[in-house]
Amino acid sequence: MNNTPAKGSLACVGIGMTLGSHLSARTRSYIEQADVAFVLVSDGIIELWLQDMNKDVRSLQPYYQEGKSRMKTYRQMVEAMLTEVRAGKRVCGVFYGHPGVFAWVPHKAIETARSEGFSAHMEPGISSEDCLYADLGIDPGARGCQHYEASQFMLYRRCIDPSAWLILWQIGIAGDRTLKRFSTGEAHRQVLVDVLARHYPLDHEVVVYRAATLPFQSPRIECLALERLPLAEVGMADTLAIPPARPLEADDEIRSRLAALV
Amino acid sequence: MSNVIQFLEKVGNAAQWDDVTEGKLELALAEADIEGPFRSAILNKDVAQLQVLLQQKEPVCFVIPGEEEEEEEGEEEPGEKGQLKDARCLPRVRFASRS
Ligand SMILES: C[S@@+](CC[C@H](N)C(=O)[O-])C[C@H]1O[C@@H](n2cnc3c(N)ncnc32)[C@H](O)[C@@H]1O
Repeated sequence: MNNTPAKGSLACVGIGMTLGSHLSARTRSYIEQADVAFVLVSDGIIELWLQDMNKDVRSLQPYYQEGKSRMKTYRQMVEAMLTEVRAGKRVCGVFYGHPGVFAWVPHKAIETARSEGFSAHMEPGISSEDCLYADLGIDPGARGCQHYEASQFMLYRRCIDPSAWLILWQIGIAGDRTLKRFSTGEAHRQVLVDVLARHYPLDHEVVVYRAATLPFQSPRIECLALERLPLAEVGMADTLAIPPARPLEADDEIRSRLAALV
Repeated sequence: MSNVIQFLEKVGNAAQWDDVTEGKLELALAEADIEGPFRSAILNKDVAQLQVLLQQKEPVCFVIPGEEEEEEEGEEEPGEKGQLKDARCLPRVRFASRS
């Protein structure tokens, strides 16, 4: 008889953004068949919906605390999932959107599980990025599209191409170096505007975007001049979309080299 | 409560609800036994009220730091210093990290 205990495993899955609309059959079966499901979602009603899919659903929300470093919170979330994997359980980490898009926790959990010899898998989901393309009618291939986490964008010098789209994530905490806040305000967003003003005119129109999380909800699509961003109401789930401010610039040298090839 | 969630799932699931008339929505709510304040919140598309009725507040949804804090002492990043136990934990793509 084989007495080896069942080996734990981890699947980090994405349930998409909107309740009932984006969950794939495969993701649902990962959730239903798990011994324990840890959930981190952006809408409390979605958390209620998930509670019906597995008998052991555990919210990761209690790890968040204003004044506590989010880095510590994230590590604790990883540890909570890994503890159950090490105990031999089939663990499912259930994340809103896509679990691998602007999401440290699922990537770290999978990396750690694999480094300890456990099987770990990421199942993609429909990200807020996907909803943004659909709701704003943007094709990232048309002009190119750059994505940055807002604080990282402020803290490091980046080579921005103002002839492409620029999408900034987590603008609700733009410029927070403490990692201990759930929101930053007008002064922090003014610094963000000053950084953006290196590349964009202050009257350039930008979009504060929030995808619907409930089926009958409409997305937030608020257009405003860049200079008005500090005074705008910006929440945890808002994303900033900045349209191209310049036309594409032809590279004449490369064009003539290519012309010489034909 | 669970009939409300099931109803939302049904609406989220199918395209026919996109431009449903108020009359049809009222009928569907009655069939799902959804009454009183839940019924009016859904009919009015009042998400804030629905959150209140279901006793939910906006969860925190940040899952990434803009800038990674130093690891606490003694902790080691998996994948560093030849500690790999399994080749599958190697990052799939290598890139330059901070200078
Ligand atoms: C840590 S990231 C997680 C993103 C998530 N993994 C995804 O696939 O959408 C959190 C940020 O995602 C964006 N986000 C989250 N919910 C959103 C929504 N409903 N609409 C638009 N952007 C959203 C915001 O920029 C938010 O600050």
